[in-house]
Amino acid sequence: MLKTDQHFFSRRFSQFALLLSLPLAFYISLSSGSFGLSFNELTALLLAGPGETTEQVILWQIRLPRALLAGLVGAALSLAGATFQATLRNPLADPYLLGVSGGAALGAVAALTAGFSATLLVPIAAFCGALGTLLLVYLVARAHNCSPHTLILSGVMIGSLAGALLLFLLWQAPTEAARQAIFWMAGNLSLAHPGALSWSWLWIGSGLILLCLHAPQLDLMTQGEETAANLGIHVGRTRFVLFAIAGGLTAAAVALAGMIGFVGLVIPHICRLLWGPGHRRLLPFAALLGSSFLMIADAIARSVYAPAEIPVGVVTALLGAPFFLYLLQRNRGGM
Amino acid sequence: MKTYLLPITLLFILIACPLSAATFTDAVGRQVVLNEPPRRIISLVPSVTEILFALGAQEQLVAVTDACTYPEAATLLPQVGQYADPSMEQILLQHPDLVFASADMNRPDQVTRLESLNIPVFVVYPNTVQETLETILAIGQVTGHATAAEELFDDFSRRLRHIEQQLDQRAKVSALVCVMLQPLVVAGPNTIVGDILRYAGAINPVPPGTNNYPTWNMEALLRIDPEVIIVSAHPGQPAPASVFDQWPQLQAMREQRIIVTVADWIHRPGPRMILGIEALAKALHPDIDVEN
Repeated sequence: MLKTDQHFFSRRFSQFALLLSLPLAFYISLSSGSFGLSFNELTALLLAGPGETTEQVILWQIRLPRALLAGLVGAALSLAGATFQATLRNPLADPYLLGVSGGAALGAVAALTAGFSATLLVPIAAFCGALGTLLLVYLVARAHNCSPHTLILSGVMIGSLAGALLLFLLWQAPTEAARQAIFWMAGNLSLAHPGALSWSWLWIGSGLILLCLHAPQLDLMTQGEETAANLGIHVGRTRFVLFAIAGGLTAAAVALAGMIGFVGLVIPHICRLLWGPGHRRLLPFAALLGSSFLMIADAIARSVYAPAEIPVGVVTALLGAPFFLYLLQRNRGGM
Repeated sequence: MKTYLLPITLLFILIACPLSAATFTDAVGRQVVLNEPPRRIISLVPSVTEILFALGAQEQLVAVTDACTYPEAATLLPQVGQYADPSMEQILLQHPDLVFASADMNRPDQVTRLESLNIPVFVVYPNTVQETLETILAIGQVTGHATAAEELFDDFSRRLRHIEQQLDQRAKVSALVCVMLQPLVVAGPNTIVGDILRYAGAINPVPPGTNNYPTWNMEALLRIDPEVIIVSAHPGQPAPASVFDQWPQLQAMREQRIIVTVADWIHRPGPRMILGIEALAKALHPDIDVEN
């Protein structure tokens, strides 16, 4: 009895901490960068509204959009990761597993080496590349009713195919285009077009709602397809729908910020370890934690070597991996 | 008997002269032994190609890389592959008696490989304007164009001194060089670009760091707000206006001091570097007069 109580309280506490983490991460993201802002300075600047001073411009036109962008991308990646892990029943699944990374990079690099600059066409090309790869993977795996094994295998194969084409493109590209492509592939939240926030809200928000509506199906899918089929789920169709949503989320994240690793892999696992595998809770929690996590990681990437910026993927892995290992070691029961 | 001694000695000297091996030390301290002035040179470095043409050594140059785009005549020469990855076979097919490589781009194992095939390799590694001048002199000596190299050296140094005199007592201008716009990659002080900025009378606002070409973001740029922003225009980059027009707060935007420069003038340690220094000095200090 005492033990369950403790468990109950620690779970309640961690849920409370999760809710607090979002405003906290937002605050950290806004206050750090090439110069720090204290709580009072930040409040004063926020109350003053957008304006002409350097601090106001930096806060309103640079840090604010970027913090929101980091939050959106983090949420999209965590949601896509959670969905892929459930539908593929594979703990190693992440948003990029099914060749999405290769496809998106191929699209972006093709646009870059064709001489388009990184402002508008490159994200669109990455988006199309990611969705195109997923569609191809789905068409190949459909013959086997989209079993997880077929999906993963065809995904990895199509991913390597895209990777080979990518290497060739990089090899023959002019040095500058190749350099730009490498930066793009490392993931960078400063590349997003300022106007991108307006549509990405809608896109990622509807992804979250659609996935939450499918939470019961996701729970059943994790039980295995036979169980799911016996309980009245049309496995093939459900998998396709889940796929399309997760793919759309991944493609949006990639188009906005390039390839940011680790968030989509580790955040769903952390949420599962802390709050259990039920998707009705897991999905919104993963979205929340993913948002706060990427906001903090990006704030660190922007400020440790300021004015220079380090790749955010370095920070996500450095922060995420030890925390995940700690949780894994504490929860001896396993996953 | 004694009367024959002098002509015989002279004859010996005459025969021995072309055979006498000359030893040169390259930029990484290797000894390069050449039995005679090279007649079939391969340049694996775009700046060396430019220097060879400037010294009038183009007759000896038999092959270049795909990055050797200047002067026009260099693009007509056979190519031995990519700058970053020249083909060993293509190099051998040209039967070179001297290969110029760079310590930045060519890996040590490529150099060793060529040496093991009995091809002399001279490595260049200029990291400052002064080292660029020394490289020009060294290439002149190695290829038998020492006089031309000294003339080029003198002309370059004279123009440098002229700028130095003009800029004497003048306040320095803070100027940032953007090597890339998306993402924003800037040139740090410990680079050849940083050195050029010093000669052009600028203060580089980029702090020294382990990364010579760090990635910045707009926040850092707005915060540091340099007086002049110099963009080295590489193909495939967005137009500077499309990036900076969103930030009218920038001092350089307000005063219309965003300058686009020829990338090769400031990135290639060759004879055209003085054009880059003059162009930047003139852009930073419009009231001075530079030669040309």
